[in-house]
Amino acid sequence: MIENADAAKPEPKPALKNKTALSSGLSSVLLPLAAILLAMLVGSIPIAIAGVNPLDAYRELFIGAVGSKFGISETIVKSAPLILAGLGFAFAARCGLFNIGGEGQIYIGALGTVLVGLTVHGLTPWIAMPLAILAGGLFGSLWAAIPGALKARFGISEVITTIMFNYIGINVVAYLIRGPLVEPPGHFPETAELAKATWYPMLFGSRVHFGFIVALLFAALMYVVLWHTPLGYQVRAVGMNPSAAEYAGIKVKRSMIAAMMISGALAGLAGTNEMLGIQHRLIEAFSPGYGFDAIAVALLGQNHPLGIVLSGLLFSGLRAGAGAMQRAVGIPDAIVRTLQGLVVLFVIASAMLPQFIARMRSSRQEK
Amino acid sequence: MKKTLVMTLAFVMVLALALTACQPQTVVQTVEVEKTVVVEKEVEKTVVVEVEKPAEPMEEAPMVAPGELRIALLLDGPINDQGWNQGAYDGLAAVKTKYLADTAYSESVARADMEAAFTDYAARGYNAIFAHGFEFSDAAEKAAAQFPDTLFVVTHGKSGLSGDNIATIQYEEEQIGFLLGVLAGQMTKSNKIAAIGGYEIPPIAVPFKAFEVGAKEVNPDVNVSILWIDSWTDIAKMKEAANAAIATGTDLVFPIASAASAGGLYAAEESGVWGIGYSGDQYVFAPTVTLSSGIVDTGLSIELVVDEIVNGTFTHKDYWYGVKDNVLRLAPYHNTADKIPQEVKDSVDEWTQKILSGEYEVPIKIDF
Repeated sequence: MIENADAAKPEPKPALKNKTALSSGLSSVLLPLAAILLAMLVGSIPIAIAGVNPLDAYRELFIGAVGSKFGISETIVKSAPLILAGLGFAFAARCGLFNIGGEGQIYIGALGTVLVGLTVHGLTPWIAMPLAILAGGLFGSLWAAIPGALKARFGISEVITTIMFNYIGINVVAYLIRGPLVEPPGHFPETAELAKATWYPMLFGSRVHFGFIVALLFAALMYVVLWHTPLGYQVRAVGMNPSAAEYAGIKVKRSMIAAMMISGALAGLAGTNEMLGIQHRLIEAFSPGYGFDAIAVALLGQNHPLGIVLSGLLFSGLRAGAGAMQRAVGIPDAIVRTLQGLVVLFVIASAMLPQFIARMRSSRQEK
Repeated sequence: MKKTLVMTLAFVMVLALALTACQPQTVVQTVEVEKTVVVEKEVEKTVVVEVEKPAEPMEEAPMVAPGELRIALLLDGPINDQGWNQGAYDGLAAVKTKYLADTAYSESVARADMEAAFTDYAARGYNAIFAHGFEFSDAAEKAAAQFPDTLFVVTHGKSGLSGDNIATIQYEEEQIGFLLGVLAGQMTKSNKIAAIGGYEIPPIAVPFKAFEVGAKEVNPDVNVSILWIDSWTDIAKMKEAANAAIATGTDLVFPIASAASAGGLYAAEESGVWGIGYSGDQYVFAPTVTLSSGIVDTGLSIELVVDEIVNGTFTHKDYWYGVKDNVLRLAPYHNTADKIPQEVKDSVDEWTQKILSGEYEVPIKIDF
């Protein structure tokens, strides 16, 4: 259906259409799942060594991910930050930029949200919440604009700057919650609670909150921006071939900075999601590496908003299920993490498989 | 070829649909079947749990027959960290043997997963859930409201958490800090002591300040400098900080920084200056120069609270433990036993007695 929507809009340059994205719908769902099964097969070795029947463990993982009301709600709760940060990574990737700074942007976005949330006491949610969301996006986008500008103006690799900006962002937050923003009397490194008006409302009487809907809205918005606006067209053109884009009159540098800013805004909103939906105050280590997991989410989702929503749910399901598995059958955390790592590895490898096969075929044909 | 692939992965497709919540018309039926099976299993489980639970409400008299005791423990780090988390895990193991309790634990629980961990254990029918670290406080409070029949205990937790079924464990760390100060004040020759902490939070700042008071009590000329490395894990940074202090004449190093503490004691061992450990008995890091360690027996404190639960005396309050409960105590002198003058040992014992009898109260208090 994506292709249909894509084809419905007359594109001036058909060469720019990404035909590989989700073109083989079936295999793009089946391959990752086969990869997960394979990873689970390999992962059953350490589980068995830990003295647990792998089948018991995987049954609990399944129940903890999608097989119970608790599991489904946990999966949805954890998917929102992964989807938002994944969209962020993908937007920059569409412009040919490798923004690994998602984690730092999440923290700075959360900071923006919290600065609003701490000051809007007494306002109606209809104003307070949008303000808090806006601030999260704005902070994230300004934070990502710096590496974007460094790349556009001086050609400094965004890979290096965004990685370093992770440390700066995380430590800026760590400093602020110990110093200027600490909740009186200052015993614990955390801010005061945010104004209730900014909190995301809870849905379905579970831990699922409004943030999931925000994530879906932004996925839809990103689709529209990328494929139905001039900006999106320019961003994709630069991503496919900067020189050609420049020759065609597209302002490459401006597109790069814009892409980084939108990318950072989306990651920042993942931080907003954790503040308004889960933590309700700024603390350290509130993100268990969502900014990094988002890279895998985006890669598996082939940098397409729909793909990212699906792969975000897949990864959050694995995360929720892994926690439940640890609690139900009592396997050590190290093995749970090993299993998660195996799944990511196999899934990413499987996502690259079609390209690899295509390359093998074409090189054989050349011979 | 492709057809066979699809056939063999039929199960995978069911998984796919469940995971992605995407529902093409043709296979909906299969999904429904899968779901009903799971629900049935759940119903079975709930029934079992209800049978195990006592009929009367828990907060009235949380009496649990020893065989039916189910305790879960949440940790913010790994169980083999030679300190904070390992202590709690040892406590859980002790409870398991003492009460034949059914125990479970989760290591390295991330902030984002804390509430889910609490509610999931509660839903699985655990009587009491211990969480080891102040950062669990907010999540415990939320979960406690949802599960009024389950008990929640947070070590170092925030005071004043609401709910009858929630309590915290606190340590009178000023007592052990003071006693270590008494020991250190008499052992330093240069009168320069470095206390190096992980982060400036009450559980570290309190024993450090009391340490200074204790050292000054026996040696008014002593100078205790308190430094922070802002890490629980950076052994190299701790070692660097300790070496820098030693280079300016410090002859006693007292690190409290979880796993990073090792770095401070390594530096002491290499430079041949005194070292003092904390949390567990840390003389292994500097076997020839470690005077003693301030042991905070978190495991024992968990055991004591479980005793309260079993005896039906558990209430909503802060459980304070100190030297009198043996939760806080000095580690043996080990290899430095014959290097410490007898009168120093005697004065440490004397001050211990004064604290135990209530004759002396360490003038460091923190209001949470």
